[in-house]
Amino acid sequence: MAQALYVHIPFCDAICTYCDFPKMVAPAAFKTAYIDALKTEIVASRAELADVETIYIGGGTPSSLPHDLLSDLLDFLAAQVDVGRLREWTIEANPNDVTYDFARLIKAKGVTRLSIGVQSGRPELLKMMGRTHTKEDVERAVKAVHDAHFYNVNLDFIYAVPTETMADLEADLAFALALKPLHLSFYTLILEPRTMLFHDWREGRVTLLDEELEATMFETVNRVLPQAGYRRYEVSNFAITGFESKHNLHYWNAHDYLGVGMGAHSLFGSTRFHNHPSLSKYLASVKKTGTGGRLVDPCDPFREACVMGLRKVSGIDRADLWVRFHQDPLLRFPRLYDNERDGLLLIDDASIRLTDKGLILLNYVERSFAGG
Amino acid sequence: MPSADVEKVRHELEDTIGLDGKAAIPASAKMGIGIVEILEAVVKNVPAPSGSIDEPLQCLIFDSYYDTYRGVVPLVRVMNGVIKKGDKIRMMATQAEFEVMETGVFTPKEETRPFLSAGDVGWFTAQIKNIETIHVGDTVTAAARPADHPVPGYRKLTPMVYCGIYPVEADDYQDLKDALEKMKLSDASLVYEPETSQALGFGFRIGFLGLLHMEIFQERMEREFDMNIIATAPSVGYRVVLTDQKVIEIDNPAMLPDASKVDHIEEPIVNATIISPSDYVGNIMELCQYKRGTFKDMQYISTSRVELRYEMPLAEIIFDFFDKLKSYTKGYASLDYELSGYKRSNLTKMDILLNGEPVDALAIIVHTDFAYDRGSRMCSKLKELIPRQLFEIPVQAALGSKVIARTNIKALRKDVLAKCYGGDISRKMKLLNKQKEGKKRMKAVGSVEIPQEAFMSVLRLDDDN
Repeated sequence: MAQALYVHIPFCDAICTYCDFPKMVAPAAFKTAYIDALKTEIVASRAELADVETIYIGGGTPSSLPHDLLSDLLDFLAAQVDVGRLREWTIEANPNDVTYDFARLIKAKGVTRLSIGVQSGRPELLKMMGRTHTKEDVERAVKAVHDAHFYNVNLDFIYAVPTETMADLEADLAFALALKPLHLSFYTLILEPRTMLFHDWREGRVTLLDEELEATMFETVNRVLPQAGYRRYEVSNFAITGFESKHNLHYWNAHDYLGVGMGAHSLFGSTRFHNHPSLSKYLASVKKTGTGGRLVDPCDPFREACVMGLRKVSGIDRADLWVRFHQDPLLRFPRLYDNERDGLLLIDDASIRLTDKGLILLNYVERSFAGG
Repeated sequence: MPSADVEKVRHELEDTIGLDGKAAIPASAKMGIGIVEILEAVVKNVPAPSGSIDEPLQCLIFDSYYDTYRGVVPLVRVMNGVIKKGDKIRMMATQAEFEVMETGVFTPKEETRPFLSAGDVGWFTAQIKNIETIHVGDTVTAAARPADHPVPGYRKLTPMVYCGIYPVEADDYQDLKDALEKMKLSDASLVYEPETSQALGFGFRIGFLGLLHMEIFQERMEREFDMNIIATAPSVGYRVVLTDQKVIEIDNPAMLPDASKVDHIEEPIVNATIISPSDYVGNIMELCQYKRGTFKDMQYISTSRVELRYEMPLAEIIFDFFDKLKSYTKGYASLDYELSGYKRSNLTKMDILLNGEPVDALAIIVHTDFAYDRGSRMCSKLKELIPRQLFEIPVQAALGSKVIARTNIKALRKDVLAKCYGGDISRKMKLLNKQKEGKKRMKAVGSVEIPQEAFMSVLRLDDDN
């Protein structure tokens, strides 16, 4: 049984230069065929979805679906799960797709949370990232959502983008706060292989920010947002108390979740698996077996629970892990004591969590989980 | 086969190794051509074993391996006599005696036979628990009726290259020792003795026939014996003439006496023979010159192939010479070398200091002319290889007390992936697992963790610049 359901919509109107998620620009016929396959996959997994409490429709760009197709999908999902159990239902959207009608539509179907991919308000940075909207589009989109009396909105931002200055970041922070969302994600740009930006970087056409500037930016975000009332609860996620993403916390607490759609990942009964990341293979697999492939990934549940747990501000919940895995991080990964000595971790009976110094060196701390 | 060019290959046989090309039998295992002819040729041309079953037993041990249940299993060629179950036998070199339990041959599967007699090649077991009693090259004879002399064994090979081998975890020292003993069963050329390093703890100094031998050894240690080992950079054996004219031999740079006590150092010199397509002669000569080689001779073997002979310090050969040679000749050149003697040379010991502390296992002996260059390149290579820590680590190269190169491994400032971790954390875990593998090959020296590659860095200074 999974309490969280992820639905992947791989379609986009334009491809962002930094994105390495399974996605594509596709004609309408593909979208219809894909939604049909999604439905088949969900019906086949129905027994596993009886306890679902959170749904997250991500992408790609779910909002790029035509409204009739989107409406059909939302109706279908509502019929497949026990709506009374649902505590959160999120959909991702691009600013250009977010209109008053869109907001009314998703609200009417039962969606409770909207996550908008803003990334930045600075024209040069938006261009660098291959985004097609403007700052004004974002303002208009957020206003439209609020006009529809839909308030549980997250805005995604990306910073430390090539050429970005401290002034750019400060402007984006001010921009984000002025939009009054209930939730903010501030990610740094991570160069992933098989993206356009990575290619440009390797060819020497763009250079990454230097470490010192990136560090100062990270510290600035972590200072400014909490001052404005957004409590940080994960490395790059901030919320007005009570509006933390329940679905994402589900991932970070290493609880089971089921992902449906092309390339979607799942954690189910201590097994990780993912669907075929290519559309043709995904469609063929659903047709043949009812599932999207369920290719098994290696999994070390306890280690993963530790790694993910430490990303949260509340840290690793020792009692919870003991009950679930009958293991304690300190016994298995004694190097954590060295991290504590170096001032990177706070360790007490209930939890293991990062200090400010540990947060900015999280990858270094994570090396401690490499042993054991 | 369509691509076979029998005549060309016949020519090449004559050109490159000087065999009579006409005697070669054209064959293809895939097409079943020439199989009968080859077997016939073996019968006709390969002499039958001499020896007699009536003579006293003489078996030459040519290999052996260790079986957990049956002990050492020597592989033997029976020269004279018969060996069978229940026989009391004696190793002629070590005088150890055993009772034969089983005899057999390989087909290639191991198969038991009631006895082995003169002319047979096979194996026997005799509950041999003590590995040291079995030497490859030794002769096995009967205890009751011993042969009066052993059969000629193998020429003892002198090691050319030495390196230190240390367990990553100090607790594994005994396991490493056991593994070495077992390894020696099948590799008679392996020479080792215990040594200690301030940086790496207890380990062994091991002599190898060459770099390839060393690499195979390391690979086998990891694959067959599942040992996590750290190998130091290879070194050659030097002759050090002290001021009191006493001569000592050292194979570990860290053992070099204080400069004030050293009169001069002699290094091993080899005769190197390089065979290559003639297009690359210029490149090869340039490389050999740079490697302190002295030109001896050049001969055209055919119109397009040339043989170059150089006299060269062995140390230069083990120091990335072969890799360079291959890249200078697009992989076409072959290299062969043999030790020719020792020569006085202007050598000095270079220490590497991490965080202000000399790491003995990183010390190398270099020619004075190359010291500055190698020192600074080694420092930047180490900077690349040693993971950054919470504090800054100075990396220095020094001749005696004089620092000749320095660089710093900067302290970590920001090292966090502030990205969207949703359902897919498999990549993150993959990265962590890779680190886990890497960790096995890291040695903590003081407060700095040094990866295995760092010890080999001296050999690979040109990888990317």
